[in-house]
Amino acid sequence: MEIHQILATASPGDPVTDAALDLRAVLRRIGPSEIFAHAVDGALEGDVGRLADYAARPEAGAGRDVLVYHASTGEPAVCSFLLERRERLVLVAHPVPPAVHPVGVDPGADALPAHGLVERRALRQRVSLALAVSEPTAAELRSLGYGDVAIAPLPVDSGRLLALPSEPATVAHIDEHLLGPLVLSVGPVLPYTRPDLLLSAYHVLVTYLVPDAYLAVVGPCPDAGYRGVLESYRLQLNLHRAWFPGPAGAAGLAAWFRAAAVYVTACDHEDAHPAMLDAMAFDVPVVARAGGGAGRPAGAALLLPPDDDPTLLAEALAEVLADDGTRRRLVDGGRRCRAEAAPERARAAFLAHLAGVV
Amino acid sequence: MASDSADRPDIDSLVAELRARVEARRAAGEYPPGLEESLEARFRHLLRHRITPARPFDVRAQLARMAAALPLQRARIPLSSARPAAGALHRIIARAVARQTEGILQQVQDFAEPAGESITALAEAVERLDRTLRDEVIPALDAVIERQAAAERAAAAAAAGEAAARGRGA
Repeated sequence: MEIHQILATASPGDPVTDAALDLRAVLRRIGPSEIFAHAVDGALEGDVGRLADYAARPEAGAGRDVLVYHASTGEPAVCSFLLERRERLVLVAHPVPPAVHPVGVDPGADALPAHGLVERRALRQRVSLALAVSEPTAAELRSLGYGDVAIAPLPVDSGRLLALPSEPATVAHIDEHLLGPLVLSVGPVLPYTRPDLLLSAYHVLVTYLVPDAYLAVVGPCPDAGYRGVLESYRLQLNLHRAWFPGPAGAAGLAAWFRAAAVYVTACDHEDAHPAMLDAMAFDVPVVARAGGGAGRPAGAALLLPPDDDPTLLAEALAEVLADDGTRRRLVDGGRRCRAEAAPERARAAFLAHLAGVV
Repeated sequence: MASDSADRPDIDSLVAELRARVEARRAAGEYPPGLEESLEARFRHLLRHRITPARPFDVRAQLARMAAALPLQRARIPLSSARPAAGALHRIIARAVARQTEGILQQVQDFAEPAGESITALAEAVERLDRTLRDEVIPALDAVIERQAAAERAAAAAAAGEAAARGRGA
C-alpha cells in the first residue's frame, strides 16, 4: 500500500503545495509517497508528477493505495479523476478562496472557486476520511453533508525559512532603496487579498502619520489587468515608495522578512495565515484584519475589525511603528502563537487521523 | 490556532483606542472630510474602467533603428531575385536609372540627417526632464508635502490643546 497526495495545482510558495511537500516527507517514513497534480509549475517539474503519471503507474491499477486529495479551488479534471479511481480517498479541505474579480481575462479561473464546493459535494460518497484545516472549513464540509469531519491544521514550517540566508540580490535591492521603516505584506496580489486597501492605508500612513514609511507587497499577480489598475492607483496617489516586486523564492522572502518593521495583511481569508506565521518567526509584529474568523492568532496580532477602513489600518501601523511596548507585546504573542502552531503538532495530528483508514 | 490569551483584552482595548484616535484626528480636521470615501471612489473608478498606465515608449530603440537605416545608399537596394535571370534584369535597370536613384537618395539623406539629429536632441531633452522630475522635483515635492502635513498636524494638536484649555478654564 502506498499513500500519495493529489493537488489541482502545484506551484512554489503556494501554502497548499508547501503543506503537501511537508507531509510527503512525513509519509515517506511510512512508505512510498509522491505528489501528483493537474497543473505543475515548471519549478516543480520532476519533483511533482502529473495526474496522468499516476494513472500510468503499474501499481495504480490495483486500487490498494490511499489518495490524499488537498481540495482548494475546484478543478473539474481532478474531480473526474478521483471519481473514476478505486483507491481509498482522504479529503483534506482547504478554505475555498473567494471568487476572483472578473477584471481578469480568464472566465474559467473565475468560476473555479464556485466549483470547489460543487466538487466537495460530488466527492462525498467517495471519501473515506474527511479532514479540514480549520473549524470554519469543517463547518462548511458538514453543511455539504459530510458527517464526521476532523480538524488537521496545515503544517507551516517557518523554521525552515528562518534558517535560510537572505538572497543577496534582494538584500542589495533593499539596501539600495529602503531608507525608512518597511511595512511588508506577502501573498498573491488578487482582489480578495485587498491590495487596494493596503495602498489606501499606506497613503494615509505616509501622508498624515509616518512620512518615511515604505510598503512592499511581495507575491505573484497573475491578473495583468488588475495589476495595471493597482499601478494606476499607486501612481495617482504618488506612492512611489510602495513596491510590488512580484513573487519571491524562499531566500528572497527571508530577506524581505528580515527587513520588515511590521507585517500587514488586509486579506480576510484564512490562506493569509501561513505568511503571518512566517512573519512571527522573524519576530516581525503583525497587523491583520479579523474577518477570517477562527484560525487567526488571538493575542499574537493586532487584529482589526473586518471593515474597510484605511484610516484605522494606517493608525494601527503607525502605532506598531512608534510604540516599542506594542511591538514587544505583539512579538511575544507571535512567539506563543508559533509554539502552539508548531508543525510537528500538525504533522502528528494528520498522521493520527490517517491511521484510521490505512 | 491560538486560543484567547491573556493579551486579547489588551489588543481589544488598543483597537478601541486606535479608533478613538482616528475619530479625534477627523474631528480636529487632520484628515480631510470624506477621505476614505474619496479613496474608495477613486479605486472603484479605475477598476470599473480598467484604467492602466500607458506603456512606456522605448524612444532609444527607435532612434537606434533610425540610425541603422542611414546612410541611404544605392548599394543597399537588393538586386537579387528568386526568379531565374530576373537578377540580371534588375542589375541592368539599376544601372540605367542610377543617376536618378542617386539624386533621390541624396535628397532624402539631406532631410533624414538633420531630422534624426533633431529627434535625438529632443529625446535627450525629454530624458533629462524625466530624470530631473524623478530625482529632484518629486523628492522636493515629497519634502514639501511632508513638511505641510507636519505643520497641519502641529496646528491641529495646538488647536486641540487650546480647546481643552478653554474647556478647563470654563
